[in-house]
Amino acid sequence: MTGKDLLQALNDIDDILIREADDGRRSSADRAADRDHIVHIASERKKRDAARRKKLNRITAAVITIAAVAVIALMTGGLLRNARIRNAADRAVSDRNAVKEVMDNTEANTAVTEAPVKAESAQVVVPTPLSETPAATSVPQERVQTGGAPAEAVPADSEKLQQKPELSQETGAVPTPGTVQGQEVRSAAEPKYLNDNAQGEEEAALEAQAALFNENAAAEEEYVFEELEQEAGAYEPVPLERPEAVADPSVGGGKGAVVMSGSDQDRTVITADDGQEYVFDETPVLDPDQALFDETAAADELREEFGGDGTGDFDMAIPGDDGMEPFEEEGLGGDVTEAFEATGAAAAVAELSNPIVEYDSFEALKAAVGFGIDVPQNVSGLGLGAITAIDGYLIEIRYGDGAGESALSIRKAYSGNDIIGDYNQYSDIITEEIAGSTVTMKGNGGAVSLAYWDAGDFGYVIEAQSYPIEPAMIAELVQQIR
Amino acid sequence: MTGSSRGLIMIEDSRIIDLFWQRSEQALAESDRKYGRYCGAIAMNILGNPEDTEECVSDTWMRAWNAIPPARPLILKAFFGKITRNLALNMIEKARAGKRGGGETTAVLDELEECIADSGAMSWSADRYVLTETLNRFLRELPEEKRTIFVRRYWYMDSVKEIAESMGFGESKVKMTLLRTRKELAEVLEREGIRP
Repeated sequence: MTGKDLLQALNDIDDILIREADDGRRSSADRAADRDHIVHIASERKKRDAARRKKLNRITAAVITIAAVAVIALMTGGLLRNARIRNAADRAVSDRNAVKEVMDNTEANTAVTEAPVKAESAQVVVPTPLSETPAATSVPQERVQTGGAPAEAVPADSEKLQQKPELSQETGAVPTPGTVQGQEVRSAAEPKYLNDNAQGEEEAALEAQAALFNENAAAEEEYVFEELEQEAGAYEPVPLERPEAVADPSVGGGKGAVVMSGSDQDRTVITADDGQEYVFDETPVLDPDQALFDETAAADELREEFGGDGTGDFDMAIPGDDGMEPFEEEGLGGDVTEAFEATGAAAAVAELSNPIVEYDSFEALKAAVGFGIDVPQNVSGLGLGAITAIDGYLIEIRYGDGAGESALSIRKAYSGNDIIGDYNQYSDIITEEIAGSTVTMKGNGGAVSLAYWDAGDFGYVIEAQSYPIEPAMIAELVQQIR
Repeated sequence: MTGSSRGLIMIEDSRIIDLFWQRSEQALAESDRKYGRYCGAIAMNILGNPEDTEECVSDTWMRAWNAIPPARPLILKAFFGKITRNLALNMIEKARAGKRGGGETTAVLDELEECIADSGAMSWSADRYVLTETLNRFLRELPEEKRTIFVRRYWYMDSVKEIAESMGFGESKVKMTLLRTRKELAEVLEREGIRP
């Protein structure tokens, strides 16, 4: 073995030792080269970012358009529902009036039949019917009913009978049971129909009333079912296309059919199947003159951020130059904007933003996340890099090798969150008790690429996938990180 | 890992490796852009002239092209550095037919032979593996400062002056540190039965 063999054997020493020694030998030329490389990469990043922003803008436009359409559909459904409710309410009021009218008539007839009969006079008193119905006013005397027995005509006393009502009404005498010319006459406590016509009308009125109630109940039941179907999604939404002219109310006729029309953009006319029109002036209007996303401003912002003039590495889509239609936000109107926000579409758009936030200090990081982290300034020759929070719950501290590359990161979050993030297969997996915590270390060839552990309420991760470090260094870090 | 480090985004080593795996010639350009100077410095230290250095670095990328795939280096910088260093040492051997010379090579060899006796040709399988593992253990147990000075001198073949300047030491301190480290290595090699 010679010195040359030793020199050759040195060639195969651990990569970590080679890299560690190189950290301190970077010449100014090397650093300049790194800067050149960084400029090159930054240029690439600009292109990628511009492309991503362009894509994001398109996604945002699509999301907002979908949300607006959904809101309009919801509002249209609401209008239709309101129209149906109003229609049903009108019909209910109409039915109630009809029922009331019939009941009034019935009560009048009943009053007629229950008119007092003076037992003392031993005559059947036929009061003047209160009802205005001709049938009630022309009750023939032959129809005076006497209990369950068939009505018998009393021709002899017909004149007397016809003369007495005024007396009865004037005296107001309380009728008592008795007989009129051999016929049994019942008291007011046992109302009797004066004649067959009154009874028939009473029965007919009751039948009509029952039928009306049944019809209303059926209609109401059908309406309830329609409501349930609509809520369950079985209801087929009305197409959004609106005819220019008012549609024929008969179109789509049938129960519950409505026709939505309107030639103005600021009003909607809904025609119910009964021909009644409901006008709504709050129809949402999309104002094409107001842009939701000012792409020109966005382009200016990009140019300012990247220092370009907009004609270089990136080209920002200007409304209309790539087939994109301008879309609006403020022009949607208050209701639509609120609904848009309520549907979560705004939140969905917001979620498209970068979840990684970089902070200038650990104090700012702690204020934002709610807990802090203690980490060393240097790790195995790597310097402290970015101080970031991800999604507001996860702290990530990055370390670089001076060439701008993020080579190692330390993460912290409340226990229970999966913050490992490295699911590579490693040949070496060991666990060690360090500072009261069970630390799992994974790596290849004796170097650790990933370590994680829990301490107190928090979980910690050291990820050094591209910069594996020795287990002893991990042990030191575990004791330093809090 | 991806991400920003205070706004400075370097192309990831993993992406360069991916380019090699995709057989994209951009891998060579990106490697040269990122590690060209690093490899050039290693070659220059060994070969001592720019022309040979340029050739050595170019060969480095071609060697890497043939090695990746199947290799997927964990530390790409060290992977390239090893190729360059090996190529440069081979070039010295071939070009000068065993003559010493070229950059720091002569001085480095003289220094290393102090800690190893000439015991004839060694087998490049078992013996070299044992020697490398012994060196790794020895270096890991050294204090970081001594380890860095040793590796810079005998792996990177940096001059004593460069090491002293970059680390803020006097040359004498660097020389003394190297001398002591060589002695320690000689003892380890003797204890392991590698040095007779």
